[in-house]
Amino acid sequence: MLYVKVSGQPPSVTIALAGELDMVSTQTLNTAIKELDKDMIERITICLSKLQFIDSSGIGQLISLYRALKVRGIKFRVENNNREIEEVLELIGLREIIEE
Amino acid sequence: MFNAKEIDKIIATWSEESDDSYHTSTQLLERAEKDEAGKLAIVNGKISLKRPGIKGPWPVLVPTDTVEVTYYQQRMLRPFVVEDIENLEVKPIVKVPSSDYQLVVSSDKMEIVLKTQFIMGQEYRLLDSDYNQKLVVKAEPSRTIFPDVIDPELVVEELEEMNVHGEIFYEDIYRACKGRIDTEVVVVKGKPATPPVDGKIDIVCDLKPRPIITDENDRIDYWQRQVINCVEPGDVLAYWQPPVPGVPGVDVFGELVQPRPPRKTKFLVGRGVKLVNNDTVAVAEIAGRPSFQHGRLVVNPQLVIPGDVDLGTGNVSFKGDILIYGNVMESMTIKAGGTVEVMGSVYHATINAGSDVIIKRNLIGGEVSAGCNQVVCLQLVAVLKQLCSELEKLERAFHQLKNHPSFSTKDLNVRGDGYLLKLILELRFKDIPRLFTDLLDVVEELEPDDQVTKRMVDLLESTASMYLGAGPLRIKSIDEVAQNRRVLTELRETFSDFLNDLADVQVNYCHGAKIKATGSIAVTGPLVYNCEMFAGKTIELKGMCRMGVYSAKDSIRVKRAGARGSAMTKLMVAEDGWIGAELFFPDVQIQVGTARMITQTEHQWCKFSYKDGEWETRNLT
Repeated sequence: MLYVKVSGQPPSVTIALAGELDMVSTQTLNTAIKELDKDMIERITICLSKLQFIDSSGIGQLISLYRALKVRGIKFRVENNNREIEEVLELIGLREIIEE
Repeated sequence: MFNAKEIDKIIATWSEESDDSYHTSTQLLERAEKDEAGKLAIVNGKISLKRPGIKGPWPVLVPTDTVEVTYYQQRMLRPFVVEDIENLEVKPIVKVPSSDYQLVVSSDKMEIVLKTQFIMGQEYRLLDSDYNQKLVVKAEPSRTIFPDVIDPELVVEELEEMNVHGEIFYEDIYRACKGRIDTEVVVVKGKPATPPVDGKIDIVCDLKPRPIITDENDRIDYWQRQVINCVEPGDVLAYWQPPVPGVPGVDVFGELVQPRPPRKTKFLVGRGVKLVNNDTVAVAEIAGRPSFQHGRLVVNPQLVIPGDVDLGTGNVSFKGDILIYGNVMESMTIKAGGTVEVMGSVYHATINAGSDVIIKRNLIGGEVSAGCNQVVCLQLVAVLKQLCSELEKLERAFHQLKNHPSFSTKDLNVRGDGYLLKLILELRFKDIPRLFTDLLDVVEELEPDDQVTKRMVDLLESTASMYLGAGPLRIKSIDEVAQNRRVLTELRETFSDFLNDLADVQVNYCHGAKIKATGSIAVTGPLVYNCEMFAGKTIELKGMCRMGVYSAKDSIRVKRAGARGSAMTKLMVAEDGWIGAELFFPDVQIQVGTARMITQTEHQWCKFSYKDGEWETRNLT
């Protein structure tokens, strides 16, 4: 199960994820992103500190999001102080393209 | 503090403003007593309680991690209200020391490592504290308790239970157990297998081209030319040394460890050479220059062209050596099975030699290739080496990820490993698809002239397609990557076998040309300008090197690399190689293996290499 909490006001919005970001739950994140008024937003920060598990679909979702937002000129950050999840991001090489 | 008069004055002011019933200091003091807070203290290591006034707050005790607090026989971990201290017990904790060990067998079963762990214990005593409504109970360390040593007998017994057959290092076990320090020490070792001696070919003739000997007037000594590096019929050229198998070893459990089978190394001969004495000795059948061509030992005769190669002579194609006393003019092609020596210059021409190429004067434009098909083999070997290394890292990263506690693999069971592999290839291992693209470019230049080579090309192409575009999505399991790596390693070894003799290129001055050599490239004059070079061993440029791409397996040494304000100069070597110059200008791209950097400032007399993920800069000698 994935819990999504959107906080902050445009131009800077933070989306905190908790639980599991996997093949089943990526739609939940998609819906939360769709509901944002992207014309007003300049920066989106995804916070993964409360995430317990992530799978390849979850990583793929973050990459797609990063690429889609980059096209629209929106800055995308992945914030995380969860060591275990950070190890996964580094092993897969996500940190080489998305800033902390 | 206020005195009684002042308090009465304040109360008088309040009474005008409100209906409050307190009017005198006495009444205020009574109320203060009623409101007094309950308090707790620690005196001489014991808890003491002052009960609160009627309306006063009750005392709260805050436990910390160095004390154990029990209230009404219940262990308290959070702050709580204390009503009485008869049922309250506060005592400092005792951290119990511990000692433990573990025996770890290495993956190849050739050694057992003893890992010991000693954790110190600690006694604490309660810290006295003044009366406080919220009392934080603390304790301070009072005595360190050392852990027991480990009984070495226990370790030895466990080793015996494991049925160990190798040599046991009792002294090391004793030291590790008694040391009270965390240690990792090898305590049992197997006997490794003795490696085999590969079959090899001992060349006993001189394969290098004869040096061009001139006198003080630059005249060539033709008599010497005929004598040096020329064999007569019947001369022994090489011996074949048969392979010697290795000796099996024994692992720590007494199991035999087989050495790898020795490589036989094929003894292939071509024109002008005959095998005798049960195919173990190669002898010359004709007079000429011995050399390796396409992995075969041959003897070539020599063709001499006294003037220029131009439209008057036409293109030159000869299976042996070619010696040209003049120049090679625009658009002409020279193709030789052996060496090509040009006493003059080469202008926008193509030279393709099976062995060395020597150009005494200038090379302007055009292409020079020394080693023919072997150059392609060499490029293949270089790319395959990098690929195998990167694929191994990819496998390691994949397994680490799959076993990571925060990484869920449920979707991989549905989709297969390919989806994750595609992600890793796109993000962390971007060099792998790039290397496969390079591989395909090189394969295109290969001219497969037999079924075996054709099959190898097909195999390379089908493997490459798995790592390009959407190809990774077709991979069901990471085991396929391991299988691909093994295949590529075998192909690399096969192509390496073709590289028996390294062909060099030597030229005086070089401008806008493309040079490939299975051996080394040396430019002896003052400048190399905007060239493309690929060498199987080294590149040595005695003068300046401005613009262009220069790639060598072992090393590149330049006098001056780059120039101010010019386009980029790229210098590349394989991962164990180095790049040095007396002077590097800014904006020179340096690449060692897959690691790249661009010089930002001038560097003098230094050479760059890349080891263990870091750039190393040393003095150039």
